[in-house]
Amino acid sequence: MTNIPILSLLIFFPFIGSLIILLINKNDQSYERKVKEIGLWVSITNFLLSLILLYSFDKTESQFQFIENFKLINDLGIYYYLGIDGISLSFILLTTLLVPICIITSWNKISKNISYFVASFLIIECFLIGVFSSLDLFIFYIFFEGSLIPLFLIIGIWGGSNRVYASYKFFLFTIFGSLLMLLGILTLYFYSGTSQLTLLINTNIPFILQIWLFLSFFASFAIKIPMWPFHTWLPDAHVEAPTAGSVILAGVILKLGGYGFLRFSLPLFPEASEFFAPFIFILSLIAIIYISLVALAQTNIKKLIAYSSVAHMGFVTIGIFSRNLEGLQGSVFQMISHGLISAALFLSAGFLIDRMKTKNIDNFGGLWNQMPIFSVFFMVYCLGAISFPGTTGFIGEFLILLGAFKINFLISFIAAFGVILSACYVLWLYNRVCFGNNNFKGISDLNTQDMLVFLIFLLLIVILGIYPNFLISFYELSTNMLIVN
Amino acid sequence: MLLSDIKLFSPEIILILGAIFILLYGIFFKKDKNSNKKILYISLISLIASFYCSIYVVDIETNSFNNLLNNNLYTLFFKILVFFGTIVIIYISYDYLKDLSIITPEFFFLILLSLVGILVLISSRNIISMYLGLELQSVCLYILASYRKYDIKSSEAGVKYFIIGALSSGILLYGLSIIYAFTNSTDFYEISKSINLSLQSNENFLIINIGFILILCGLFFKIAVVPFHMWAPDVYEGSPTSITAFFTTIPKIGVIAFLMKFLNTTFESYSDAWFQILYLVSVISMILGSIAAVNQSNIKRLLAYSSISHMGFILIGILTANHIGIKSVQLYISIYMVNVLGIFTCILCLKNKINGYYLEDIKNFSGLLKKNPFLSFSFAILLFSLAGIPPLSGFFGKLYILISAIESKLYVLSVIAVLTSIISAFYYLRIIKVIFFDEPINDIYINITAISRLIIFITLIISIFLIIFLSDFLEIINTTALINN
Repeated sequence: MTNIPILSLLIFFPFIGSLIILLINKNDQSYERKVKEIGLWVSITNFLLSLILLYSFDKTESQFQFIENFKLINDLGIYYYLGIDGISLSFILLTTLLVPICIITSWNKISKNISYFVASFLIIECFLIGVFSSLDLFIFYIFFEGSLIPLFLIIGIWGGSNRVYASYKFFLFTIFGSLLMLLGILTLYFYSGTSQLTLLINTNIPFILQIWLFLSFFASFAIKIPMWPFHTWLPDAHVEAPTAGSVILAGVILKLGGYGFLRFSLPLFPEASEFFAPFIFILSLIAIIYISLVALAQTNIKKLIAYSSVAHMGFVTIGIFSRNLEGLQGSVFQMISHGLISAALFLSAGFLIDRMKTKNIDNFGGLWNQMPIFSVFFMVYCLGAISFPGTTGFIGEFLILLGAFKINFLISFIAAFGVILSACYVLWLYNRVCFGNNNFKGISDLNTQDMLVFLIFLLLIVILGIYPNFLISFYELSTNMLIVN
Repeated sequence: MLLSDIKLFSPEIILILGAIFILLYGIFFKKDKNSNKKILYISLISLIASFYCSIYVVDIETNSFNNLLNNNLYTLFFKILVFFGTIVIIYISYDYLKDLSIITPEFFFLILLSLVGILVLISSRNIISMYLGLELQSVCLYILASYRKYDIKSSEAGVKYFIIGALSSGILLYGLSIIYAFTNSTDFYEISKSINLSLQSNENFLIINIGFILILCGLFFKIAVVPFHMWAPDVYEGSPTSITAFFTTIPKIGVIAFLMKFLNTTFESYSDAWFQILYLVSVISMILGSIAAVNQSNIKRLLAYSSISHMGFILIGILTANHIGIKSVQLYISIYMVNVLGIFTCILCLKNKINGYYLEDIKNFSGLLKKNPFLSFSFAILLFSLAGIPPLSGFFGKLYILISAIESKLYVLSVIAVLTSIISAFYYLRIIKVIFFDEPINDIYINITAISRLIIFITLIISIFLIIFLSDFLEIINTTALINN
């Protein structure tokens, strides 16, 4: 298995797929169908490839696996250096799972420039897998920033009425953070003479430099995750993005920030992380409490879910910077779980918006007797979002609270209020959408195709909620390594 | 004059002969309907022959005409660059000027002569040859700027460019004469020696400094950096579009090549002085160039301001004066040329359907996506590349410039560079926004020939896939980066 460069294959297979899609003759009668089918098969094949990765992954190995390393740019010593540990593996699987789902859900909804739409998703997939598997700072940066272009176009071309504003805001916010990180990367590179993560971990960086570097990385990751004062791009981007765009945004793109903290900030700048931990706890707590209250006041269904994402990501940052085993494991779990739950919620929201042609929560109502199957699915997702025991949400937040408790009782105490608040706004959302007066007649329920997608999410949320060790066992050693270092 | 001098000057001689032949051919075969097409081929043949000679006939590391000219790998690199650029521009100009029905043999004559001027300037090692080269290219460009003589704006551009150009040449000449007066030499190598002597004995320091600053002012005029940029937007807007493409790339490459050589060899001992001047000019060019571009509605004006900020970026590489800085300038300017030529080729494909005018107002680009997705996506990718988004080629130019800045510990400068590139991302995004997101205002007629399609395709491939052959390209730059007298 080791001879096949499986990570490169995972990264570049979607890219080649997107090139093929762009080269299909547009005058063909069955052109649109062909494009979608190729896109779907490429992404499903990629998912199967990632399952091979999962199968051949060695859980007992604490170092990086599937390593590919050769020089990309000779004179600078930039390496094309790929390798994964358990944390990366989880995120790669999440990505390869969500991309085919994105293509399926937009099967009949997108007709404008379909080939570019599908190609954008495949290119995003390529960049995202690249981010999660790169161990060289420069390669990481290229993949990290590269994902901006396709998402900018997805929001801007296929988005809602205010899409221009949203796509601009998204682009400028993220590029601001990323460019500051680039300066940090360059400084780090000149200080230590290497950009390879495995070598950088062993370099001792003076405290003052650590502070500056931490801040420059923080600028990028905090915007991406997003943390409280930097979150304003997210609700706009979510509201305007097409459903598939929201799914990939909430499902994976937000996790880039958390992944960056875990992969780079913690191991490279340990003292600075410790120094800034209280500051980040405060920001996260504000995010949890304040943003939950903001979510409570929303009338736009997508905005509400977007704000709930910010609040849930607050838990993740608390978990990461509590820097103990429970916190780290919980935050990885929470990210995966949020990737599934929020993707499912956005999918449901997109499903509703397509049928009702409204985003206003007050216009919905009484769906339970019109669409009983949908209501059941939506119920489970909502329970996941309020971290109900038996769903993945519970495991993640429970572990994070446990980790925070070890650091400081007060953090855990305040954060726990976030769970209660999330119950308030999510259950109220469910109440307004599914119960009450019926405003719509003759709405069809899920068809088989939708049901399949919804079922995948439901099964994953419940199974991982009941048996979390399946996921945790993969990254247990990796999180241990983070603490040891 | 020796025979060997002729051999070393053969590229320029071929171009001059070709230019004269074109002029004569134009006079004698005026009635021939296809004469312009034939002239296009003649000029291409002479360009290619001259290109061949400069690689295979001219010996490297040689001086010719009593040390007036000096050929080395460094000059060869820039010469190859301007050859490629000129071939592209001649092609796109041919279609454009034919469409405006103002094509005459003189156009090709002027372009070729101006190229001769640039070649002489690049390889000059004497005040006289340098000034002759610079003036030859400028005089040709004055005429080219006013090439649409019945168009008020074009005539205005010509006059403006002529007056400002003459003024700057005067300033330059004054500076050169001061230098000559106090060093008693016109040879840059000799000048460098006597400057070092006078610096040691602390004689004539002030007056040489003044002469030096005047020379810098003259050169800054030619590359249009702040505060010598006022003419650029008007001239760029008024000139015929394909000639604007010439302005933004080829003469700038020539002057940058000369400037870098001049500062790093002749005035190496004055590096403290020019470091500060270049620092200031670079900062204000980047800031003004990017901020002023934000509100432009004419694409040519916008590109004029964007080229000002790009020149500011390039000056960072020059002022660091380390090995990597010089390399980064070579890399940056080649990438810049490719992207800008691609963008101008795209612009030249767009016409108004009703009145047949070429589109210059950005808001008229709306609806291009519907008409021709290939062109719009290529346009977008080239703009993203110019904005410096990875993994496109523009990013690597910026990366190398930033690396050289950080290596020289110019942290403030690199932060400014990063902030201004965020602003520039904003205005490139504005064009992309109009193309992709806005509703069409009026009908666009797309006039895309096979050649321009090829040019766009090649520039696109270079932009996207540069990352793969970047290492080899840097190898080429490495061998050519050494500056010798």
